Amino acid sequence: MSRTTRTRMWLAAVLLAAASCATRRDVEEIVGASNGALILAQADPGLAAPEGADSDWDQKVRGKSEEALARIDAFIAQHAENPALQRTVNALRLRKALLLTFSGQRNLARATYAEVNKELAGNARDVALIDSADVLIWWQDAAAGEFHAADADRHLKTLTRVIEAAPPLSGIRYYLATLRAHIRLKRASADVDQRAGFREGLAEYAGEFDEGARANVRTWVEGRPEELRKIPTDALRWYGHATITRDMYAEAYQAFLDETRAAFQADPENVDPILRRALEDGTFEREPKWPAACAWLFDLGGG
Amino acid sequence: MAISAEVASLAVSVVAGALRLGKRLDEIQAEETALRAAVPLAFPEIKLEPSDTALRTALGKLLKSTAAIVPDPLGDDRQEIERLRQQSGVRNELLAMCRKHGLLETIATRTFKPDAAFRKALRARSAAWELGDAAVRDYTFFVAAGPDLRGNSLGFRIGATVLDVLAEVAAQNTRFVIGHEPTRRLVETVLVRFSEPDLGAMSGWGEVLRGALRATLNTVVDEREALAGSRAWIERALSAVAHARDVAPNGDDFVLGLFRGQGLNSLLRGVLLEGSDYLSEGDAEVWEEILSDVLVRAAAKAEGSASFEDFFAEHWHSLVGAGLASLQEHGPRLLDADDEILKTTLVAAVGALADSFDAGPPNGETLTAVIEAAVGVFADPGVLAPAVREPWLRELIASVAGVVRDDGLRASFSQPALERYARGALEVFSRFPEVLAEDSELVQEVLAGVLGNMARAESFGVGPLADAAVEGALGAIAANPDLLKFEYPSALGQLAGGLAERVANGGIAGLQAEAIVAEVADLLATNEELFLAARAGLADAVVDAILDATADDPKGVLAGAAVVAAVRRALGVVAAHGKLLPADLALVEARVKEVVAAGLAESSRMLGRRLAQEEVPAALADLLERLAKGETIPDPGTPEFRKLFGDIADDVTGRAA
Repeated sequence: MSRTTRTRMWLAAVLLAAASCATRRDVEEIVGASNGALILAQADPGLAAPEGADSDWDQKVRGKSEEALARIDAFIAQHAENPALQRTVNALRLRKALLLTFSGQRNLARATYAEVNKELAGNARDVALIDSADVLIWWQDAAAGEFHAADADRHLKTLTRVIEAAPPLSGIRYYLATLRAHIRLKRASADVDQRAGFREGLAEYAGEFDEGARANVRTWVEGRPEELRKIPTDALRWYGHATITRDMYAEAYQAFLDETRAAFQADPENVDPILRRALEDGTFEREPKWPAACAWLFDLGGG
Repeated sequence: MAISAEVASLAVSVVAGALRLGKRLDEIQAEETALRAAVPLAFPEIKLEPSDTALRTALGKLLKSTAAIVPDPLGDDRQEIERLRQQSGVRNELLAMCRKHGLLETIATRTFKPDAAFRKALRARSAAWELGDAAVRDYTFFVAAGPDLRGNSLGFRIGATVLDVLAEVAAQNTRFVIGHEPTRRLVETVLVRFSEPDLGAMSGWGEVLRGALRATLNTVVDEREALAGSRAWIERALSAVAHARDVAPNGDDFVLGLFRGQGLNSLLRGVLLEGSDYLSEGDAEVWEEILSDVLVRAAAKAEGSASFEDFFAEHWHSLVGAGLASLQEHGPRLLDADDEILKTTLVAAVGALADSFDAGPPNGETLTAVIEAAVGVFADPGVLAPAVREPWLRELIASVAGVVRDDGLRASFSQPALERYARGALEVFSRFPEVLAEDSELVQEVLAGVLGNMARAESFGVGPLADAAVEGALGAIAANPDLLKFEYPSALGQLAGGLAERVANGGIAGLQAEAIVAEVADLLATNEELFLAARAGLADAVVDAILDATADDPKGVLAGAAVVAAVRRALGVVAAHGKLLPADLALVEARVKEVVAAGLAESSRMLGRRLAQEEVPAALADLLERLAKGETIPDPGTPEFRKLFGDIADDVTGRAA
């Protein structure tokens, strides 16, 4: 091969390399920045403000969010008209909507979701997130704040529809099913007799795990390293949450029983007349039974 | 060393291709990153609601703690709180009361932090995976993208992009790899066409392959002269397709659709090669125009009907084949007379078939049969005399197609028989386009009227009888189209059906039945006012009576042609005096049968003495005439009856003498 030819080939290779990574690099940076901002925006204080963090921590968190949003906006402005990047732009718009959702900018989040095209969503997770946008926005405030049973019932209906459409055993399905279990737990806590809501909520959640997934949850609980290593890391979270969710339900259930008994003993008028009758005739005192659908969760033991 | 202009051009196109490829690959990878990256989705802290019991307890404590205070700080609320504590299902009121008195903040509610709990559990197990803090954090939050819904893999998209660029670069540089000019031109054209769409945007390899096929086929069409060589017919056919593509709304797709079924093989290897054997090159030019026109019309029709589009893609060669078959048979006459005929007929057939798709698509056989029949009919110069007018022709073809497609009729009659009937109907009605203009489903009415009634006979012998009935019906209608107003086909079909049953039961021979059908067809047609309007069913009743009496006759006086003659004479009498007979057809049938049976009994005694066998039908007719005129007929078997019939026999014999 002559020197001239080699030179030309190198030139072509260099041009190819130069042309072949600019956009991808931009997107990688945006994904990295937005992921970091999303974690900070959603994280509980223990994680978000590590020990020794300075007093400007909240400001830094906001700054990360704003930086990621600005990067996304710049990319969209530059590439919105490129047909070859329409899925990419759409996926970044969804990231922007999520970031706005979790950083408390609910109205902007709604406006951004409206710009996301579900037809261009290229994976099951994004489709489900688009369909459950209203639920996610609502739950950010309702989880630890003001809660109306009617709103919860409406959002639970939407969420169930989205979950049923999502691929079984997929990450997004587990995420939304766990979220639903949390919403049902809080919804049940607003009932006079909370037991039915707890039973149904946990049974519905337990039904999301097939035989293979239950075996993995068992492995998780038993905690033997050589067995644990066989579990795919991106699924660890869902197996871990199985017993965490169970324990949340069990704790809330027991607390309800204890509180009701104690209140009744102190003054029968402390409890609703319906519960009062159940306590008086002894039916309330029967041992609580979890439905068969979630028995496997309790058979696992440990947390 | 100086490089040539061609090499420089190659270098430029390679570099341009590399840049384009690089940009596309970059965009694909960017999309992959954006869509496949995990997203952090946390679970917020959950704070349960204060329980109903907690609200009541807090309010109960409030009541107690303020009971001794004067004035009562709760005022009217004390009574309200006491009332609420006695009621069920009042959570909202309890909440409002607690809020009003600042109790909500004092009620402890349970809080859960699911992510923190998981992180703690994961840390406890992190040694198994050797996870650092960053990984623990990631696994606490991330949700994977899940199943890819884009319909094509990363490998496909990259592969299609590379193919795309290679096709474009290769198209620009075919001269470097292919020295043979015609071949190079073909390859270049295929590659140029192939690189036109964005392959990366296609949903899978199947679509890319279809794109390649489309590019190749269109190249064949574009380069027909180079491909066809001396085979003028192939060239003509490709020209026709090229013309159709150019004027079709979605040209390239149309060509692909056309060739998607069996069309290409049939066109290039079968029909056209055969056509080239028996048609001259001059014919080919005419054929090109015809085929082109048919394809264009079909393309427009196919746009409006997805099912027709599929059907046409699968069967269009049948249409071409049928046209060529007709050309083979009638070619010179057809083409010399007026090439518009074939084109008009084929186009009309396509339109009629497309329009009648609501009734279900016909099959390829149907198409062939109808077209052959239609074109064959119009090849007759006599039929061609009045210029073909498309609207009624379309109706005619649709109507004939309906007959051939009718499942019920297909179950009873063979395909060739139905085609024969259809051809007969076409021949007849092509002479009366104005009738068809008034009643577009005429052919179907006539044939369905005749054949539908016969099909119910479920007889092996029904075929020949149907031939006779159809022939009789069509002949009669040809002579007098007004018969259509009288449900003539149905009446004839009903009688023929009855006869078919008798043939099946061995009551009469097939030939007798056919002759009777012909007689009845003629009689009905010439006495339509009586038999089809005033006294509908009378002819059937009389025929049944005579055949029943004949069948019951133990001596078998009437046989063979004599039975037919008896029927003919009897019907002649009824035609002349039918209105004098009672209105009750059952009574007429019973009386005729009784009288004929008695006449046959007397005849058997007189045969060879006062009466010859061939004179029996005339004697019976005489007897029936008296009955029709209302004359008193003595009871059968009585001396008076014998005398009467003897006089009739003498009279008949005398007349014969």
